[in-house]
Amino acid sequence: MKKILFLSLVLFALSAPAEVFKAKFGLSKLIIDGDSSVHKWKVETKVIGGFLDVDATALKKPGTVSSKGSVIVPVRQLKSGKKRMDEVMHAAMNEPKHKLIKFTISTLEVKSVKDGVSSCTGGGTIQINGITKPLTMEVKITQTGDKLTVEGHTPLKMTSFGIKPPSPKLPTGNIVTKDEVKISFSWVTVK
Amino acid sequence: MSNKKEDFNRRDFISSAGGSLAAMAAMMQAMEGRAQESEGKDTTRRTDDSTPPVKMGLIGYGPHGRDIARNLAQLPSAPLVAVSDNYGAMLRRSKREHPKSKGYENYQDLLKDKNVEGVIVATAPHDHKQIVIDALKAGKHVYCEAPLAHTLDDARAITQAALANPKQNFQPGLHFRSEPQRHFMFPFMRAGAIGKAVHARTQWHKKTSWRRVSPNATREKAINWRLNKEISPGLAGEIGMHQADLVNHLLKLTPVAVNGFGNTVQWRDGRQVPDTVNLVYEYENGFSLTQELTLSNSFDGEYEVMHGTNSAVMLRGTQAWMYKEADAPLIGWEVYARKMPHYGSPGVVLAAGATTLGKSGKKLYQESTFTQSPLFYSLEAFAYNSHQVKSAVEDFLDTFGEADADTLADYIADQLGETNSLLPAANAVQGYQANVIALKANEAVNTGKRIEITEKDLTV
Repeated sequence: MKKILFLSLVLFALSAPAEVFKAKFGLSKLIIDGDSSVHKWKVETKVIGGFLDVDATALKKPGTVSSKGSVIVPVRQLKSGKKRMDEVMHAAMNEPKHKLIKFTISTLEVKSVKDGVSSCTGGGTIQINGITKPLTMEVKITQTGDKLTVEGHTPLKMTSFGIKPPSPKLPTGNIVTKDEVKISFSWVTVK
Repeated sequence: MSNKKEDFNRRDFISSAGGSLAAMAAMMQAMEGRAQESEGKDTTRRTDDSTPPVKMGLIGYGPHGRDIARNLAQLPSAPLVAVSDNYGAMLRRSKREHPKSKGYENYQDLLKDKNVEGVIVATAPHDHKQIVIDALKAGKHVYCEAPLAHTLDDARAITQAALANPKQNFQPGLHFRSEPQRHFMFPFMRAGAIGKAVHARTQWHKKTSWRRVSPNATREKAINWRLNKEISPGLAGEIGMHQADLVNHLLKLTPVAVNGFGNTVQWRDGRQVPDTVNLVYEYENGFSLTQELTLSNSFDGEYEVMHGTNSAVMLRGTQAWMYKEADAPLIGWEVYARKMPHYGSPGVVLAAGATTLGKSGKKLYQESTFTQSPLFYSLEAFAYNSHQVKSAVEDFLDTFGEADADTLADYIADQLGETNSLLPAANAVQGYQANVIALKANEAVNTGKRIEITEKDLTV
C-alpha cells in the first residue's frame, strides 16, 4: 500500500499538469512586411487571440514539450494606416469569406535555454484564405510571472494560400506587389 | 479617441506633404492616381458601392430630417430603412417620399426595429437627450444633429451616455469636421502655414425668417422652437457653432470668453430670438474670432477667413484660397499653384481632391471633386465609421471575450483612431465642447454680457 502511494506521488510529481495561457488584448503584435515595385509596405494588428496549453516548467530545459494551442487573427483588423490599401489587402485575402488567419500549434521542441528564454521549434499548421498548410518555425518563449511571450517570424508566399498579390493602379502603371511576405509576431498570453 | 492626429506640426507637414516641390508633386500624382482609379465611379464620395452598408433609421422628418433623407438616398452605404415622426402629416410624407422605409409614429418603436443599425436624430435640440439615451440603450449607433442640446446639462448627459457605450459609434453633427475641403486644410493650418494666427472672421448671411407655419396652433408653436428663447440655441447655436468649431479645430484653439450682441431687425413678428447677431470670442494668446450672423440680408453669403502674420486663408463652399503677405517666406509649391484674383490680391487655390498634373487630354487643373454638402459627408462618415466600429467590436469580442467600457474605448481608439481607419468626424467630447461654446455665445447675446468659458464648463 505504501509502495502504491509512493509511486502515485512520484508519478504526480513527474507529470506536472499543462497550464492554459490565454491571449490578452493590448500586449501582442503581429506584423506582415512586404515589398512592391513602389515601396515596402507593412500591415499590423494587436488583435491576436487564442490560447496555449503547455507545461511551462518543461520549457526550462531542452526536450519535447507537451503542448497544443491556437492563434487567431481577424483579417480585417490588419491595418496599414491607409484606408485604401487596407481595403485592397482585405479584398485580396478574401476577407468576407475567410475572416481569420489561424495558427494551430501541435508540437513544441525546446532546443536550448539561455537567460530564461527558451529557443524552440514549433510545428503545426497555418490557415489563410481558407487554405491550410503545415508550418514549422523557430520561436523564442519567455515566461515572466504569469505571462508567456512567444516571438517568432516566418516567410510566406501569398500565392501558396491562393492570394493573388494585389496590383493597384497608378498613373505610371500598375503597382507590382511581391509574392513573398514576412510574418513577425510577439504573442503574449496570460495564465 | 486619441489626439495624435491633432498634434500635427510643421515638421510633420514638411515631411509628409507639401514642404518641398517633390513632395507636392508626389501628392498631386497620388491625387491624379485616385482620379484615374475612380473613373466611372462617383468621385464626389469617399466611399463606393462596395462599402458595407449600415441601415439607418431617421427620427424627425421636419425640413432638416428631409434634407438628411435626401442625402442618404445618394449614399448606398447608408440605406434609410425606417423613419419616425410623431406628427401624422410628416410621417405620411415620409412614406410617400421613401416608400421602402418603414414608418413609426413613436421613436421607441423604431428603436425596437432590429433592421435599424444606426439612428439619426434630427428633432429639435430640446428633444435630443432622451432619444439619444434610448437609442444607445437599444444598441444603435447614433448620429445626433448639432447642437447636441439646448442646455449644458442635457449636452453633458448625452456625451456621458455616448462615452459609456463604446460598442456603438456616436457622432455629433458637426458637418464641417467631415467635409473634405475643410479636412484637407487641417494639416496645412496646423503646420502654421498662415504664420502666427491673429484673428478669424466668419460670416453667415441669409434672408430667411426661420418661421414655419402650420394650420394647427399647437403644432405651429412646436415647430417654431428656434424662435422660442427658452429652448432655442439662437443663431449662435444653430449656425455660428459650426463655423466657430471649424476655426477652433483648424487652429487648435479654445476661447476663454465670448461677447455677444443681437437684435431683431427684420423679423419683428413677436419672436424672442434675435435675427442678427455679432459675436467676439476672446482667446488666451490674444487671438480673436468674430462672427456675423443674420437672417435679414443674404449679401456675400457664408465663409470663414483665418488671418495670420504670413497669410490669410478663406474657406468658402467647397473651395479655399490662401492670400500671402508680401513679406511672407516662400513655401515653394505655391509658385506653381493655380491663382485666382480676389479684389487685386492673388489667391493661391487650395482644393481637396484636385490635380495640377497635366497629362495628354487632361486639364491642368480640376476643381475639387468633393462637391456634395458638408451634411452629406458627415452622414457618409457616420455610416462608414459605424461599420468600422461594429467590425472592430465584433472582432474584439470574438477574440478576447467581453470587456469593460474603458478597455473597449481604448481598443477602439487604438485600433481605429490610430490606424487612420475612420473617415474624419467629430467625437462625443468634441461635440460637447462645441455645444458649450455655442451656448455660452447665445448666453452672451441674450444677456449682453461678457461670458467666460471655463475649463470646468468644457469638461464632460
